[in-house]
Amino acid sequence: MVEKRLPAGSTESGGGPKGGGAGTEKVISIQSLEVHFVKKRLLEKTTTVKAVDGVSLELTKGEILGLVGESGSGKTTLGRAVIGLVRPSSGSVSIMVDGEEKDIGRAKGKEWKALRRSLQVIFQDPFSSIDPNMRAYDALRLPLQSQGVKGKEDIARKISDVMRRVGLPEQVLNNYLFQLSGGQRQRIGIARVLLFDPLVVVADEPVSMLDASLKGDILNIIERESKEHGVTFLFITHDMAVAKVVARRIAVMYLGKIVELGLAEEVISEPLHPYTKAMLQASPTIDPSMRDKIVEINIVGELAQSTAHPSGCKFNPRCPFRMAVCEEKEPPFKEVKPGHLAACWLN
Amino acid sequence: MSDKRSDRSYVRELMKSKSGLFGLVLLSLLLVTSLYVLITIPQSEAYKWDNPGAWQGNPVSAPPAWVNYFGEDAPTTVSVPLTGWTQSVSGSIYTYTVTTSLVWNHAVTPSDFSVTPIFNGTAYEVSITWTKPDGTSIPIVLTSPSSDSFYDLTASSIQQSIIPYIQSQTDSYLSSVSPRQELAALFNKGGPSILNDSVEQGTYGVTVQVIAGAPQSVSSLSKLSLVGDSYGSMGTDSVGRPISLGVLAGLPWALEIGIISSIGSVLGGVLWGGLSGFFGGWRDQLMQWGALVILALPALAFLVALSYSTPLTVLNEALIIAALSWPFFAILARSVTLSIRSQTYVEADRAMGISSTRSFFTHVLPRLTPVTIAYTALSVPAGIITAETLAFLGIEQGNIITWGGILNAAITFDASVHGWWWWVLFPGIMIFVASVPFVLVGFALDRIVAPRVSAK
Amino acid sequence: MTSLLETKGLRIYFSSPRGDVRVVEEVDLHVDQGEIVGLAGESGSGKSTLALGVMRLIGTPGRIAGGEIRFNGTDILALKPDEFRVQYRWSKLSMVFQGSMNGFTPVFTIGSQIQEVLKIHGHETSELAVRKLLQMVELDESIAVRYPHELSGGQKQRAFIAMALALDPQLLIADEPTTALDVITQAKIMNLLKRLRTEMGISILLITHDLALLSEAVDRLYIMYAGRVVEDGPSNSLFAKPKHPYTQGLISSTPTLKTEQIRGIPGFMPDLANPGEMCSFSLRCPFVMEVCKTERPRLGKVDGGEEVACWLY
Repeated sequence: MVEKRLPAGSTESGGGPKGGGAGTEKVISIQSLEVHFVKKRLLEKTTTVKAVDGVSLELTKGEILGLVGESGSGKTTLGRAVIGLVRPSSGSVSIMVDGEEKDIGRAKGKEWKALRRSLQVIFQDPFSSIDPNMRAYDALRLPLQSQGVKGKEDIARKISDVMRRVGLPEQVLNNYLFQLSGGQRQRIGIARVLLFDPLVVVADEPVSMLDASLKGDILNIIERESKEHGVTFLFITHDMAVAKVVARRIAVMYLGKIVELGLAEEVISEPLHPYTKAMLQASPTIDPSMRDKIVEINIVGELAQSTAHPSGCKFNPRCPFRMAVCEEKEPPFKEVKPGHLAACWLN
Repeated sequence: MSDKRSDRSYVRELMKSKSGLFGLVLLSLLLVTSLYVLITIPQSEAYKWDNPGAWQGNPVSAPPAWVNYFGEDAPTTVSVPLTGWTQSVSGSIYTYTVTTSLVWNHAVTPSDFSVTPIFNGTAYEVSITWTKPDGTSIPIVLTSPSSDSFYDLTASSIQQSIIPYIQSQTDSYLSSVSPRQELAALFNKGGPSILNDSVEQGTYGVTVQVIAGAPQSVSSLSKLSLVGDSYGSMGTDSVGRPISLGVLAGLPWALEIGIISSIGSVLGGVLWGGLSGFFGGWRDQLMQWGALVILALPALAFLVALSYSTPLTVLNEALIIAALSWPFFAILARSVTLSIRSQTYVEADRAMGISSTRSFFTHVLPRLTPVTIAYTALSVPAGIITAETLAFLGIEQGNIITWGGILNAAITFDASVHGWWWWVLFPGIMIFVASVPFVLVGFALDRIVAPRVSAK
Repeated sequence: MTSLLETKGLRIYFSSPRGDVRVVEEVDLHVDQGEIVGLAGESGSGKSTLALGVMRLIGTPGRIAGGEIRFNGTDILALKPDEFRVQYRWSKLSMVFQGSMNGFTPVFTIGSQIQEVLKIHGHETSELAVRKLLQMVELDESIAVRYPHELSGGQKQRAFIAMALALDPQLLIADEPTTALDVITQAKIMNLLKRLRTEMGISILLITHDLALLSEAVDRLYIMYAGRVVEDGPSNSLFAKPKHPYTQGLISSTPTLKTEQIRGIPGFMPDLANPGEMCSFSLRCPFVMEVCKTERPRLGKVDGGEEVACWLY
């Protein structure tokens, strides 16, 4: 269980408050990243999906950044690019390791493999992200061995250590994955990641497939790792409320672009972008008085699901505050208040 | 929810399913029988198969002996023992005599009458006095006989002996006589109607004399047989070869070829398909194309053509069959491989820096193995049938006995036209019987294995 | 007044090699005219199975092992399968399943699939009828000629709701109708459901694991755990003062914009094949007492118009 939070006012990067033990050094640097998926088919038009369309973002060491967006927003692809599982079409994503800046997107071969020690990912579906036919022990041993760790004692010691950190008893190691529950499997998934002692972990919707009573434990593990071991997390989720629990800063993503970025409390209490506002309005809380009320959402339609991105501001076809300029030019992503950025002509 | 998934557990689960268990039992029976056949029926018997002379003394195209239980009157061969030879000497003529009798209670005659005297040295003649129940006798004389020779109704000596007898009974002239007429003469009441179909039942007396110019030892291995109309458990073919021998002898060969071709095609196919799925890209496309080309080939025609160009042994025939059957398994293995490689846990491996080769061995191979085993069992029957079909068409290794080969002979001799059902039924059924245990085991394995093939 | 839907002592068991798995055990619930009633629980609580049971869609190895289900007073379990299918299923009560958006065949247009439902039950199948249904779910009539793959997730879900409303049912069972939809679309679908109740008088049984979602929509709710109802009552009092430790745990596990931190509930669900004579939650309850481990508490009335099954009360 995590300690009580400090009040919203004292949110400065510098350890202690929510969002883990954030320092000030930059650990991940994303510059104008673009990731395009091109589909070439014989006799059909080549279609390009711009999953990530110009994202610049920095993660400071030890922080937990919540990346919030719905499916189709590009958040998963952004996460994959940070890990290096997907190559940038333009722009760069790099990580600071031992004082050196290493380009993740262009790393190959040995370099790429060496980066694995610093960069890891927790997947969304605990039922398919670890082979259900394997024993838990083997699922942990194999990654260790692939990183060159030899010696039975070394391996056993490391495994024992991460099992403790994720709160699983050691007997579980003898079980096959298919014998374990979703929550247990997800913990093994996290344990697997911690074995590498990574600098940065991309957590891709790590609790969306878990029951409510299991979410808390996983989120607590993530927070603890961040605070005690200084691990930086890029926490991807579609649920603003979940992001609020763990993240120090929140970035809202829409159609491949970040539309708002700021400290979690600020983004939630004073959202600057209409999309963020709508999402917050739509998020339910425990509030029986709402049952006779209709939540007015002025957003029309749904996330454009195809390759055709609107001209100008991507959100303009759905925006209730649309102005003429919104259809013509894309708004710049600028700092509206200290530490709080948004891309909207309204600001 | 917890079931141990070791390989031993597959056998245990297999034994739990009724059909699987039954299949296993049958399979063991077949294998044991094969072993027995290999041990007890030496190669020499196989060579004997191709030598018609070895089968004299067996009834020809005879149904199985048990048809007698179904109302047929088809007597089996009666071998009259000739023991207790007495010697009498008169000057320099040595005469050896034995007298015996037999009872004939059938309404039909035997299919042949044969004598095989065994003595050493030379003899002037062997004479047989055949006494019918009504008292009449027929003398049959073999002039200048040779020892251990088979004399039956087609032998001229015997014909020459019987013709005068018939002429004396019917008062007509015959230049030659057919075996049927000879048999009628031997087994009918005497008289002008001797050549009709009735058979005199009762006790027949036989006296055999061997007349030689020097002392002999006449062996009691000498035989007089009334060759029957039925034989053994499965009858005989038109040369007198017992079908049961053919059926047994064909078993090890069928199993060998079926198993080897199955293993070859499944292993080869799975390897090809697994690698194809592992490589991806142009290598995958190329390998797929290769598999599809072979799949499209008319297998039987190719097999026939290939077989004419290479001398056939069990091994290379099995390999040729395998070479044309593997594409199916390649396509199957590839799709399993691809579906597994698209799973998140494979992506996770990559994220952790685990090489794709390692990943392949950890995730794909353990899922391919059980399928491979199940399919190996299931495709043995196809191998057996293909091999037997080739044998039926006359394409087989020399000097072996195959069910297909027996069926080939049956067709050649118009077995179905003549109604010699045993010649076709038993080898045909064996092809089925040999396939059944593999199908049972294979399906039982498939049921056990199928849920585990899916990527989750 | 007779309830629209009422279950008494409903038991749904699944046979397995280890014996009967008691997925739903002794559940009493009711939905009255014009209400939205919630059924909350996590995976394994039995809530979806309950819904399928009410629709008589339980197949082997499951079976309805006991209890009554009454619709407007009539015991629907006593009806012959064909009677139920023709007279009740879809026409008096219908269901929107989890992932219904994938319940459309990809090879026919939405309009034709809705028409098919109308035709099978002998209703009018004109284009006008289809258009009216689409209007009810706030879909443009042009949707009728589109194919399922041309629609977004939210549109498909609405279209399925339209299909569920085709025969003018009195009760709509919605099982996780908004999972897999983004939060904005989710809010709109919830608005739709509320409108259906207010403007058209359709009663709704809303089944979900998301307590926050439930709280903003339902008049009354039932909390299920390990196949049984552990707490139920009017939404106001239940959320203001949750009584059962599981409810409390569930609420504090639900992240919302107002929560500062969330806790999990440690431990696991009991084995539904051998539940034993104890409180199912006793293995995880922070307030567990001796009696909890040996005797099973029954639902008893407490203040606020609620019922709780817990030895604390």
